Amino acid sequence: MALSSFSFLAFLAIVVLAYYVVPKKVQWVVLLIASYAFYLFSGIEHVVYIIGTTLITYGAGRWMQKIRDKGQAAIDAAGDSLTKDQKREAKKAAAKRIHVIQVLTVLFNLCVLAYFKYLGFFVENINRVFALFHWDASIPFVNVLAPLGLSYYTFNSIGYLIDVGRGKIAAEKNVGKFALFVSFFPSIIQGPLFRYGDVGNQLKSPHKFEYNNLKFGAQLMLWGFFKKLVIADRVAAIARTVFAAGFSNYTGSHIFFGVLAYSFQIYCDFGGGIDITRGAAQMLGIDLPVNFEQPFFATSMGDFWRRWHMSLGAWMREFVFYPIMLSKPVTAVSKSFRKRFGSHAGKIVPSVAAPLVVFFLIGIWHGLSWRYIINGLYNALLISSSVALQPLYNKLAEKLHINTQAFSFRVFQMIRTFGLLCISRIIVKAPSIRDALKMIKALFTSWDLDFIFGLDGTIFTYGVGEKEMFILFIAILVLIVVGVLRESGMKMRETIAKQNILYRWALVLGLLVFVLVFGIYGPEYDASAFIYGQF
Amino acid sequence: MKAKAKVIIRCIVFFLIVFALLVVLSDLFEGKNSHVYDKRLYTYRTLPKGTVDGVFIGTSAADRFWITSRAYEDYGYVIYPLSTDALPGWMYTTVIDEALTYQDPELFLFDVRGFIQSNYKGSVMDARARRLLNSMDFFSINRIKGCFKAAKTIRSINYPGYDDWGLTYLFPFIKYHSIWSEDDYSFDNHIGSLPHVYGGFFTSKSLSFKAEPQEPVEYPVGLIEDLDPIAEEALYEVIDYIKKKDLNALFVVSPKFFPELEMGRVNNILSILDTNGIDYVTFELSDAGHELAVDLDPQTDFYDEGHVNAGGAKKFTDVFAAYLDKYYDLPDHREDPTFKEVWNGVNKRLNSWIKKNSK
Repeated sequence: MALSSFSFLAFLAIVVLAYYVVPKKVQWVVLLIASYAFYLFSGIEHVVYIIGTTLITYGAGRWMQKIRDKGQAAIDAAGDSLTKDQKREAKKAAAKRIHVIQVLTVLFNLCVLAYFKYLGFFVENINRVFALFHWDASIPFVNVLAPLGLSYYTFNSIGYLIDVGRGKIAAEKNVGKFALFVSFFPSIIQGPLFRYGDVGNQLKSPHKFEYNNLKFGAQLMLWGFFKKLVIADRVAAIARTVFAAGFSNYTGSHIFFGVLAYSFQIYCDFGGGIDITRGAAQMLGIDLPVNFEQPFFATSMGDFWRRWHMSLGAWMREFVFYPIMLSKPVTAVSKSFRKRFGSHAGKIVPSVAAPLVVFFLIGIWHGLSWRYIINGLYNALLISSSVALQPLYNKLAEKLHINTQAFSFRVFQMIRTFGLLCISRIIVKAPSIRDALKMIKALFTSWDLDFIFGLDGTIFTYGVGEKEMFILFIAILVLIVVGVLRESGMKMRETIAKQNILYRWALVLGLLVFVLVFGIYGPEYDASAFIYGQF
Repeated sequence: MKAKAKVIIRCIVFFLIVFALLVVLSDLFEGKNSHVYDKRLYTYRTLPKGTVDGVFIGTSAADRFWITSRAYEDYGYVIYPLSTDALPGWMYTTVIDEALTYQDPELFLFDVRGFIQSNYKGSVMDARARRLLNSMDFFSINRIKGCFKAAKTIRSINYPGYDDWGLTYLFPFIKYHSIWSEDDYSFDNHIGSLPHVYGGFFTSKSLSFKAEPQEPVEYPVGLIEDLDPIAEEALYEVIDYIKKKDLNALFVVSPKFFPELEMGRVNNILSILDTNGIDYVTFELSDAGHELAVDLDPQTDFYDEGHVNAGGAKKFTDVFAAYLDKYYDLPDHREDPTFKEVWNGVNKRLNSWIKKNSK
């Protein structure tokens, strides 16, 4: 069931109604039933995997909690009869056992993920090696369809295991409530990722009906539909044309046009989907984490990744970046570099090591193919180098008398960041790495201004005609205006809520009519194609 | 409590506005060519009650052959065509309900062509069903029931990527909203529709005077072909409907140069009708003088292998109207002021149009 389909809207309406009608203490049961009903739409065979992950993670969490509680109880019972060292040893022993369970369960979850997502890549490349050495052998490959939301619920489960293992949260005792955390239906397709300590607690808590939640949630969903149906699904035609295999019109302006289209497509598709998800959750009184903060206003790649897919960034930061930064090997190397080359050199080591691992993982999270790996490493290189070269940049700015606080400099940074992002997009979207390199080269060579400004009319032959292009232009303008207002700190829905009723309704109804008339939906349109749903 | 009531009222008003918007948008975003069916069915709904003696349900074989106003002028009865192009047989019961909702017709004529279609292409059958459904009164129960029936049938044809529950039939706008970029919609006085000034008879400047010579077809003796399963089920459904509602029914095989498959299916249909005791008529293309011989000239009276032009329609109507007058006890309303008000002048208007445009 696609998030932008009428079926989902009807389903959500029923769930919201049932949620607020039932007694508060069983509201979570309604959500659990709804989540599994939603999941069943994707196929009954996939339910086995989510149930398996749920039960194993739940069991592991309870076991770890039991070890911790038992250990603590034994220490408390012994009281003063144990020395400080003995108490420390006892805690260490318990922590070791917890750690083993944690690692094994995390590995189990990762293996399930790897089987569905990466088996094809390994089989293909092993067969390539065989072919390279002319060995008469090949591993047969069976195409396996990954269960819906596998990446998202696996990462959420891993986050839960680590939080329980660290003692940050107590393991959930109720298997149903834990199952709800894993399967919560609005976010199962494309996130956002969330922590048990935050959203998990919200899911099982009772919620009183609040009109504002309903209103704001519906408005956010409408905004999401606008982004997805009016912009993303319309601009996708351009990206598809430019990045199609065999497309040979490699002038810089054509490539840039395609990259621009793809950038809007991926932002509006993913961002729109997240808005629909968060809006649906808000209607149920649940506040899911924000996943995007005007990413095109980013002034550096680091800033971009703090604004884009924020929940994945937060997850990586918490469970990969900081552990690597604070790990013994990295701190040891960092110390040694600091001793020999100075404090800045000491800072560089973790700033290079951690991003390399993080972005490699982010790359392969999208899919195990060379394009995602290269893209991940490209992003890592940019971020690491910006940290490493920061003193040089500062010196340069000083020498050239550049005011780095000026608005114009900020605009330059935004354009620069977008340019670097274009290269990243090309790597991901081009039919092959070779095509990507050709396209990147073309981006810096021939430019056709007649094309870019629509003077020769060719721009209207890339899947979006003149009228459609006009609508796209208006829609993107609205998107940019809203982005600027939000970047300046305005809270859109709260601001709209303060206006007079006629103005509010005119705005909302106007947006609704705009989406209804100009949205790409209905028979002959594929409602299920969310880009990030495949991850 | 006051605040709660305010919220509830606001929600209701908001949803009513949204519903109204969907209705208006559904009316604005219709294909241009649906105005013909729109007018035909709208006229039927707005005729004074009790002024229709019979209906001719079916495809273009009904409204391009039968001239209601001509039959009224010659014999005084009104048999109105409730038809849309290539109307699928599985929509016939919806039309029967529509006929009975607004009038009390004594005679039901059914065009067999609705049952000789192949229902394998969902997109085509979808378009054909919509011609009827989009022309019905938006808020009528008949239309809503018809929408669900159409959705169910289209789903059984396995039309991929199709929305569920017939929502796009209930709100056609959902399907047609994309036509804004093709200029294929109309804003002119479309809300509420307009009467059909030629009494339901199809007129076209390009087709009504076109004469495409046809070659008569020889069929093997005993030619019988299987019906499409959905069409066959629909035929039996209509037969059951006729019996259940005790309708005075007559199936009509309008003259056509049928391909062999279609002729085989027609024969199959006639055999089923025979078995179920339902009357039917077929027509001979000759001037042999027997009552169902229509002197249609294949060289001059057809604009394609399935449809007569204006000249052919006049000849067909004369023969069929005489047949109906002879065998069916249909009243003569030519002195009835209610009928005169509606139908006097319609045939004159049509003939004037034919005269004007045939030059």
